[in-house]
Amino acid sequence: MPLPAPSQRPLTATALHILLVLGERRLHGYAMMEELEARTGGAVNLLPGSLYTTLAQLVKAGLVREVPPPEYERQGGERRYYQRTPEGRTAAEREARRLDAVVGLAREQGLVPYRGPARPS
Amino acid sequence: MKAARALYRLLLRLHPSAVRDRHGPEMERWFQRSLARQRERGRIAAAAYVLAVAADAVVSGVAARMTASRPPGLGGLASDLAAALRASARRPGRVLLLALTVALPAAAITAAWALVDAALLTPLPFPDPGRLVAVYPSLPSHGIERGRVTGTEFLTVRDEVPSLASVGGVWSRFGILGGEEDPEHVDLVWTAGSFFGTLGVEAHLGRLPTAADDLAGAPPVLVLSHDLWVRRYGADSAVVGRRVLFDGEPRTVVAVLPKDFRPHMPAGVLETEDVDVWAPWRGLYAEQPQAWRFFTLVGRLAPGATLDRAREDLRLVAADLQQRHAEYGDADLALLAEPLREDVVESVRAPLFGVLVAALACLLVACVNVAGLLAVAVGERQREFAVRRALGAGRLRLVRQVLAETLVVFVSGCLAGMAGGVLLLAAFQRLRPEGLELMAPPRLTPAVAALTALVVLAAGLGFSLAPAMRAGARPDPARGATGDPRLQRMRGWLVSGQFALCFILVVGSILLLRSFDTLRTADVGIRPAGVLTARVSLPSSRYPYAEPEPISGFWEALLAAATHYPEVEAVGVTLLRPLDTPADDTEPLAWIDASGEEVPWGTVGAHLSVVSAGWFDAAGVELVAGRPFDTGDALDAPLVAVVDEGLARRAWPDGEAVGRQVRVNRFLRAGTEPAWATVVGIVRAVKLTDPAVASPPQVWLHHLQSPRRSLTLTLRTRGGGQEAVVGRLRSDVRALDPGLALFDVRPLRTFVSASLSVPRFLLALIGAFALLTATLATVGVHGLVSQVVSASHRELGVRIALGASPSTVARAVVGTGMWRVGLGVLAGAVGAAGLAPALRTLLYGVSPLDPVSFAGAAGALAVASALALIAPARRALRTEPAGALRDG
Repeated sequence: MPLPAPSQRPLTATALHILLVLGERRLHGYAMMEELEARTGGAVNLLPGSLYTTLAQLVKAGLVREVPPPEYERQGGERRYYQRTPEGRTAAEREARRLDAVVGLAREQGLVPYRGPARPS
Repeated sequence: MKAARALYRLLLRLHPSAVRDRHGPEMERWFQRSLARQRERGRIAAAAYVLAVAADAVVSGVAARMTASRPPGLGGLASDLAAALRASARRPGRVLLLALTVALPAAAITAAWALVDAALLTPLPFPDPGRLVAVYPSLPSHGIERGRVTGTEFLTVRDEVPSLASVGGVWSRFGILGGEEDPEHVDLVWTAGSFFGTLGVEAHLGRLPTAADDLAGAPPVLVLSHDLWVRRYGADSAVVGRRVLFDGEPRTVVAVLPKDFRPHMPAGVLETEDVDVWAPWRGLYAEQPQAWRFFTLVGRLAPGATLDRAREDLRLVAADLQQRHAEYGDADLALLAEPLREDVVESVRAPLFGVLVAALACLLVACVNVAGLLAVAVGERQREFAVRRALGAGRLRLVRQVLAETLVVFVSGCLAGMAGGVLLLAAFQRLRPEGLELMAPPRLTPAVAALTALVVLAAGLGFSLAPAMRAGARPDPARGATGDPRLQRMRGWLVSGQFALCFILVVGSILLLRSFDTLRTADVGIRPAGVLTARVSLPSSRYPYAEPEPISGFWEALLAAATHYPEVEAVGVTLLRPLDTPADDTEPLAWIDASGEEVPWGTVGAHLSVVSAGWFDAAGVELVAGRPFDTGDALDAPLVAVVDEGLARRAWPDGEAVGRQVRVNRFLRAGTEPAWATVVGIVRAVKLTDPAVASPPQVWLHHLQSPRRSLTLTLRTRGGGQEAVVGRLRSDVRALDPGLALFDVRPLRTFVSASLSVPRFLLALIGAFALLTATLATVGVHGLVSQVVSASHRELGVRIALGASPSTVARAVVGTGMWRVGLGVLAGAVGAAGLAPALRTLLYGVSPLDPVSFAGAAGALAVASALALIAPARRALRTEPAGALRDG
């Protein structure tokens, strides 16, 4: 069986976190780290080494692109801003569905508690 | 703050340039802001943060570089390693602990390999070193196994052995360099023939002496060592050609040796490898007394000649010598040729390989510990592996992933270990024991690093393979995460293996300890406490043997002065020093036995020394019968001798040695003349060579009856005041002869401690390894039983609920571990017994199968293991039945 194309291989956790936190906005690296930490209650704590190397890979893969900073940042700022591309959204969506399928498989084997409505007896 | 910023900037360089150029400034700004925030929380928080950020920079940077640069087809392996690095970054504490467990023995192995390389594998630093041989005369009946040659033997080997292209000799002495204004004692080696030419040494300055410079009547020349040239002559290149005084005789300096030149002679041939001056002897070799053995020979095989050919030539020459010279009598003279390198390293081979084997055993024990912890980690991650198998990951993929994580541990442990090994080598250079000569300074060469890495990684991955294979196997769903019985059994066998290796090391160190203690307390025949020694050497130019009176007069005057020092109880002089005499420094003997028959000359070889009347008291040698020397034993009086009790028992078993006749070489006037001496006293045997080796018979003559130029003063002092004694001695020596210098001043006990330096060194090393492996092994059994307790949580709950007593539960828990320990100890005992022949060469006064040592090692390990099992036993006792049954 041939390997999936690079664009269809599973994303690393860091890559998925970046694509999710970007959403439809433009953010710089520091903001991504802060927002991710805040929105996950500290469960995900990206450090700059992991963040920026993954960001470079996402840019290279075309899932994220660099964009001009907002107007209020253009004077004297050296930050680089990024935005998710449509291909990035597709990849995030595909990865989320894959994880959902995995969790479903784990749930069937009793490895993960069922969190949905009560099962019919 | 600045240091942290500088460190982060350095770590950023690990990232590919694409990332660094694009994001570097922003990452630095982010780091500064975050660090400032952490500093508000305190120093510890800030330090922990810096460490975490540094680890992240290392891991992500290396992973990014590997991903960017991996060749096609290695994508899977590279991603495994990248994932392993990320997993390690998430559990830095665990990885650090495992890496440290590997780093300690890796450091030991690095140092051990470097020592073996420097001592045993590095060739002699001379051109074509494999063609250099040492030539020894052998006369077993005279007690000479590998001796020094006589003048006649040297000439014969030089001129009549066609398979040796050149021959040279060395004879270790000392002398005085300089005149009355600046006399300096120096270590001298007389050379015979073409010594430097034979080795192939080139001078740093000038030209080295050749065979022509060794002819009688040739102009006297001198070669300086590099150190002496720098120290005394300020590295002045104009020293070549200068005339200097040596032992009162003008000599021309013809050469300076290279900076790191060492002659690399076999152990015991030279007083020291740090020789100050070298000079051709220029003597009349053929006219020297047949009994006088003085040079050790080295030869270079002629082009096309083999060692076997040289040995055959020497055999023929020896037979011819014996026929031509009646002095050999019935002695079976042989001339031996041995590769020079083999002789040089012979004395250190066994101890160094012992150290290497101990370090390897240590590594194996550490690998077992890591493998055991890996087995636990694999067990705990069975859910993760189940999910990945469900996603389609093959067994090999999972095993590879686990091995990649193990590789991270062993690579980091190996690298840290090599760094530690460099530190160990630096410490070794400072603390190196006497007698452990190396071909080159030990260092971390590429070969040593590669070998260490190969051994550590092979051992690590080898032991980790079995637990890693469990990652790909389907677990028993009824057992849960920690309860896989196969993993537990595997771990149990590994623990037994650890204890087997550990037992061998522990019993080895106990045996070495007992051996060392026996050596340390062995009766060496002297009482060294409070005794000072110092040497004086009279130059031949002003104190020729042809006129012995000035020689005796000097010593008697010096002894008379020293006797009156208030700090001194007794004083004497001696030719041969206890525990510092080469084993082959023996002379033939003859004696009249109890039945009146003469035991032939040369039947036995004995150490022959000259001493003054007070030396036996000064050195603390016990008189057993008869009397020591006295003032009546003058030069023209009948020759008398004192013998040791060993010779007395052998020669005169009836116990009546005093008054018997013994024939010895007597150095007098022009040379050596065997003469009959009357035995006047018997003393306890003195260990003149190695305390671990049985001493040859000993005979002492009075220095007035056999004058010698180079003697060692021995002064027994009361209380302190040794510095004052040394000051007085220096003054009195200069007052008697301003051209003389006192040298080699040291307490007699330093001879004792120097003779113990190699056994002490071995004991310290093996003992350290034994302690390390014992610690690792007890940690291993602790971990095993803790795991069993966790896995048996429910079962223990049931037992307690059914009424099992605490002692029953504790016994069951402890028994689980102890029977593994017992099995390992049993296997270790068998292994230690198998190593007994090898260990025998390193021991003194204790058998390698000593039952007390074996029992002691077993007891020590049993106690250590029992203590390690207290915590898991207590945890088992605290099991709550209801909770255990509920948690299942």
